[in-house]
Amino acid sequence: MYLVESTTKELLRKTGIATPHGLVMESCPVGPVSVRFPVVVKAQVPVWRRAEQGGVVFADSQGAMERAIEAMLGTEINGYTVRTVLVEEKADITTELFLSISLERDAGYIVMLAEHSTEHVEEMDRGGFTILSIDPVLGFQDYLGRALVSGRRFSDPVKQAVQDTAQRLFELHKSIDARLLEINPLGVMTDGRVVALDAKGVVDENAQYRQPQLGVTAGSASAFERALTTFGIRAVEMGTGVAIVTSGAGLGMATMDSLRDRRVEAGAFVDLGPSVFTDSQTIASAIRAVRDLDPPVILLNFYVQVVSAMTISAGIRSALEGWTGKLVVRLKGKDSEKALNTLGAVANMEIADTYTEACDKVKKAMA
Amino acid sequence: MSILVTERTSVIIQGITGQVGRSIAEKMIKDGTRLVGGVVPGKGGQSVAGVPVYESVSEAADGYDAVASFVVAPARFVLHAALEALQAGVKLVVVYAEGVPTRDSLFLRRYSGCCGAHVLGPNSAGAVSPGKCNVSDLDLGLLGMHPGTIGVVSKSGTLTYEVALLLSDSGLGCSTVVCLGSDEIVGTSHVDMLREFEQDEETTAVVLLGEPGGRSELVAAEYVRSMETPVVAYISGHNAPLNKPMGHSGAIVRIEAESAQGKTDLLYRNGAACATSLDGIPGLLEKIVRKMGPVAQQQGADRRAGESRPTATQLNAWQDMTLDA
Repeated sequence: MYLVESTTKELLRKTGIATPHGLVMESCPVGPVSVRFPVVVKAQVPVWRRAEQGGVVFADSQGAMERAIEAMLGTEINGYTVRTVLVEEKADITTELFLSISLERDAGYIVMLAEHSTEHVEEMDRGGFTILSIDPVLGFQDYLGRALVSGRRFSDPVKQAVQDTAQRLFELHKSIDARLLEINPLGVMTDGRVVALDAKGVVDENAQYRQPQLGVTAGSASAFERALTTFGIRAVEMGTGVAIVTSGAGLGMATMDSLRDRRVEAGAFVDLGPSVFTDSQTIASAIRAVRDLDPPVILLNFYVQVVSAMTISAGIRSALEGWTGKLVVRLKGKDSEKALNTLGAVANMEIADTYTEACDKVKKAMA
Repeated sequence: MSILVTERTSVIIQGITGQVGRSIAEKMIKDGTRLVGGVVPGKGGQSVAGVPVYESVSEAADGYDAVASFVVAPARFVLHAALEALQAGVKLVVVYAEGVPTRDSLFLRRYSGCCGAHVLGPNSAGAVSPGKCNVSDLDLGLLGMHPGTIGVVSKSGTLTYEVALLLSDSGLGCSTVVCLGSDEIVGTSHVDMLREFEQDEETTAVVLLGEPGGRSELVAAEYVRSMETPVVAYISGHNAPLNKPMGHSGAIVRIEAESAQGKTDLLYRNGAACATSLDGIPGLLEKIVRKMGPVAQQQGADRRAGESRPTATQLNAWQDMTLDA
C-alpha cells in the first residue's frame, strides 16, 4: 500500500528529518501563498516516476505556479486522478544522495546509500551503493551508521547528518510497518544539513490494522482487483480467458499451469483463501464479481480441510443461480458430497471429481 | 523415520478453545498425535478434546521434551504467542494464521534462528508424519494419507493437500509432509527441510513444491546437486505476471530468476526431476519408484544398517532418469 509524498514527508518531519517548506493544495490559490519562488509543483498520486508523466513542474513565479496547479489538478496519472498537489520551495543544495530502507523477503531490512540520486534506481550499477543489512532483533546500531558512511568523501557534519537520518528513517520504518522508505534525492545543503527533497513510502498491508492513521492507497490494480480487495480477497486480472476461483493461491497457480498445459489461457484468478471461507455472502460477492467479467468459462476449484464445503456451496448458489454461462465445479473435502447435492439449481454446471478432471472439463468447455 | 515430528513429539495448541483450535485438536488425537495440552490466557483449567488448557506455554510444556506448538492465534497476536513458545523452549512452532505483519514475521524468523528452533509459517498448514504425529490441519482420513517413504516440502497449504491426494491416489505413502507457509517471509526455507530429509533414513524421494518469488527454491536447487535422495520438483505459477502478487503475498515475481520457469530451470540443471504442472508429479514419482525402486529400497536398507551411501553408478542412474523425465 502506497503513501503519497506529502504523507511520507509529514512522517519524516515528525521523525526529525527535514523537508523543504511546502503546502498541500486541493485547488488553485487565490492570491499570494506563503512560499518563496522558485517552487516545484508535484501531483500527489501513488505513482513512481511522476516527472516523466507530467506530474512534476517547476515554477518561478506566482503566475507560473497557478498555471501548473490548474493544469495538473483533475488529470489522471497511471489511473489515479490528481486531487491534491504539493507546492514546495526549491532547496539550495550542493549534492543529491540516495537513501532508502527496505524490507526484503530474503535479506530482511536493507539500508542503501548512494552518492547520487536517480529516478531509475533499479537500473543503477549496484557498485555505487553501500548496502547493509539491519538485524531485526538488534535494530540500527551506531556502528551500522558509521559503516554506512565509511569511505564516503563527505565532510564530518554531512557524515553525521546522513547517519542520523538513516537511524531515524529506520525507526520510522518500524513504527509505521513500512516495506519501503526512500529519500531520493536526499539533498545536502551548503551548511552540511540534509533535506528530503522527494520521498516514497510503501506500507505493509498486513499491518494496516495497527496503522489506521495512514492514508494509504492500493498500488496499480484493476477495478476488478480493487473491488475484491474490499472483501479482503486477492485477485489478479490477466485477460479474457477462463476465470479461476480457488480455495488457495497455490492451488490457483497450479490450476493455471495445468490449464496452460492444455492450451487454455486464464483470464482472471481469485484466491478466496481461508479468511472468507466461513462467510457464504462474501464468497457469493466474489463469484458475482467474477461472473460480471463475462468470462468464457468459470472454474471453481476448491478443496477444504477445516471449514465445511456447505458454506461454499451456499455462496455458489447465491451468486450463480440463473446464470447461463459455462461453469466447471470441483468441490472436494469436508462435507463435499452434501454440498454438491445443494447445487442442483445452478445451470450449465459440470461437476469434476478430481483436479485433473476439472482441468479436462474446462478444456472441453472452451472447445 | 521422519523429520521434525515423530511419535516422540509432544504437541500443544496455542488457541485451542476456538472453533479451529478444537477441530485441529480432535484431528490430531484421531491421528495418534501426543497432544498434551492447549494454551489460552484466561482460560486455564478448562479442557478441550480431553486435554487440559493452561495459562502459559511454559506450564503446558513443563516436563516434556521435543515439544511442538501449533499456534491458531489471529495474525495480530501471532508474534507474542510464538515468542512465548520459543522462550519456553519449544523447538517447532507452526504459525497457522495468514497475513501476519511482515515486520513480525521477520523478527520471528531471526529470533527462532537464535533459539535453534524451526518456525513453519506464517500461513503454514503444519507438518505431519502419518501414523506418528500430526501437527497440521491435514485431515489424513479425508486425504487418504498413510505412512511411507516420500517426503514433501511445500510453500502452499492447498498445494500440500493436492499433492497428498495425488500421492494417495498413486498408492504412495509419506514419511513427513512439511508446509513452510505461504506468506512472504516465513521461518523456514526449502533447503532447511531438504537437509533434514537427506539425513532421514527412510525418506527415499522428496517432492519439492515452490512458487514464484524469493530465493528459497533457488538456494534449495544448489543443495539438490549434492543430494543422494532424488527430488521431484514443481514450481507453480508459470503464468504469473511480473510484479503482481498471485494470491500469496510471497508469490510475486520481481526478477526473471525468481519466476516459476527460472526456478524450474535451476532445479532441473541441478538434477531434480521437474514437473511443469501438478498432475505431472505422480508420473515422475512413479518413475522413480518403479525404475529405481530396488535402489531406493536398498538405499533405505543400507542407511538403516549404517552402511555405505549409494554408489556413483546409482547416483548417475538417478540423474539419467531425471533427464529422461
